[in-house]
Amino acid sequence: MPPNNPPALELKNVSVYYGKHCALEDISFSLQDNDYLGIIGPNGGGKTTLLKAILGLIKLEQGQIRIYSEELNYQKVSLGYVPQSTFVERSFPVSVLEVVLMGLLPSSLKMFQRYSSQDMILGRRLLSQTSILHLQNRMISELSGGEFQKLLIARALATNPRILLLDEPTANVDASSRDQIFTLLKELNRSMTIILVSHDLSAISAHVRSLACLDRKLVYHGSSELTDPIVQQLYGCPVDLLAHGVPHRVLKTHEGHH
Amino acid sequence: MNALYSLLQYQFIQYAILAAIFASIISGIVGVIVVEKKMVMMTGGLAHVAFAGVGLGFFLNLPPIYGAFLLSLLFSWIMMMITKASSIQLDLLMGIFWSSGMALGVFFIALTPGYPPHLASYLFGNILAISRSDLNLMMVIALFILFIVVSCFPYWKAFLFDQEFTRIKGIKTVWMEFMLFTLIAMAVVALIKVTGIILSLALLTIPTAISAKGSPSLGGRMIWSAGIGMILCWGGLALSFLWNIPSGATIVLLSSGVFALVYAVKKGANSCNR
Repeated sequence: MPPNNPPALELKNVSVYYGKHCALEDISFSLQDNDYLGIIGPNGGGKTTLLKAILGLIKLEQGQIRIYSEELNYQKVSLGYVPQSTFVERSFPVSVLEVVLMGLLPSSLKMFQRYSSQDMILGRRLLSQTSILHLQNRMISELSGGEFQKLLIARALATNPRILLLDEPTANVDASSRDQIFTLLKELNRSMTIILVSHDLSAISAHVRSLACLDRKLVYHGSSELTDPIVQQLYGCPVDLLAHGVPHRVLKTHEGHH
Repeated sequence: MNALYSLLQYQFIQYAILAAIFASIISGIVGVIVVEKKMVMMTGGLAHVAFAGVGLGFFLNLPPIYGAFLLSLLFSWIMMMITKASSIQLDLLMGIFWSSGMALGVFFIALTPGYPPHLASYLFGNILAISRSDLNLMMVIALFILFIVVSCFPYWKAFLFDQEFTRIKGIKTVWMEFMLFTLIAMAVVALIKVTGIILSLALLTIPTAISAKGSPSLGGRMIWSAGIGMILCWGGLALSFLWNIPSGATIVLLSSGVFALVYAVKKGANSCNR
């Protein structure tokens, strides 16, 4: 990657407050094109908030976020968002294919909009890419956790994103779906920048290129190889780290409170 | 048959039948939206705010239904802004609106000179006493809701399913939210003359609840819900005419009775299959 390329994403002194509660404090970092960033940190550490701030869903108290050196503009750069699956209404009466097609809706409101046959083909291709094409006519209430998660990824891909943001994509997912999702993300990373949030160290550190550790503040940002002092700072307690490439395990050696 | 035919000659019966059609189209569409978006309580709050409008109508010597129309539109937008701008628990807010709306209605009526007006038809509905102008208003509201929802249906589907995602796609969800609150306010007013303020939630929820057992898709549920609502309204109308009991209450009781029956039959069928 030539060094004078504009960063895909740049955050400068970003702070977010919920009322008086500070959710994110003075976050600054930038991300190169085609990076694959894993954001880890404890629950309530602001990971989802950070994604939502990048997506423009939350007002910043201060600071700025630039995407390909521009202010966020939904019409210009597509951001693919895969929300935490527990936040999405699973009982809603839509079919799998309908959900993917939602990603293909034109952004300007068109009356009597109908999906073209090309939309249908593209939608089915995305379902097959996420290996759930056989479920296309199922209602989403009938899907397993893993299948639903893949559907959310397919919907995000339908927006043809340059940056893909995923919030806990492996949280409610069985082991084989988890592997499929990571394989898919690796493939996608060839053509897009990926930001993946998880509270589960072991799930992601073996897959991502770079890591950010978030606990209200950005504790660490750099290579995906973690060292003891960083993790200790992040979780506030000693945790055992195994070699990079092998799933890390956080052992319970806590003493007292965090 | 002859008796039925001669009944249909009466204008108030014709109006009642038409009102039932409009009411069920409105409640079919808006009911499914409100239930899926989990805004039932908000809708109830808005219905009771409409009572303040009825009172205002009496006070200003306007048709009360137009007073209700104005105030529920206004308050639906105020509610929207409050829910967006503050972190007040929605439940709590609705409790405040719900009771304050009624209180404000009573206040306006107390200020109105002369004998206190008959409020029963606004509170509990009277489909047999629908006027031409009520019917016109209901028709306009039904056509408006039908047009707005049908013409942008894929957008509504995406919006109701996942508002954040729809917004990130660059779709003007602010506008859709505004429309959503407007449609609910209109629906509530249109149902006042049929089931009344206090009973309007019934038409918005019960046909929807029954339809959920009939159709898996969003649009299908709306059509089913409208159809079921129509049958329930006509049925309730017939029973209320036969037994000479208030139509609003009859429609509501018939609806909840049918719901209980459908639920029980479904439950029974499920346990037999096991």
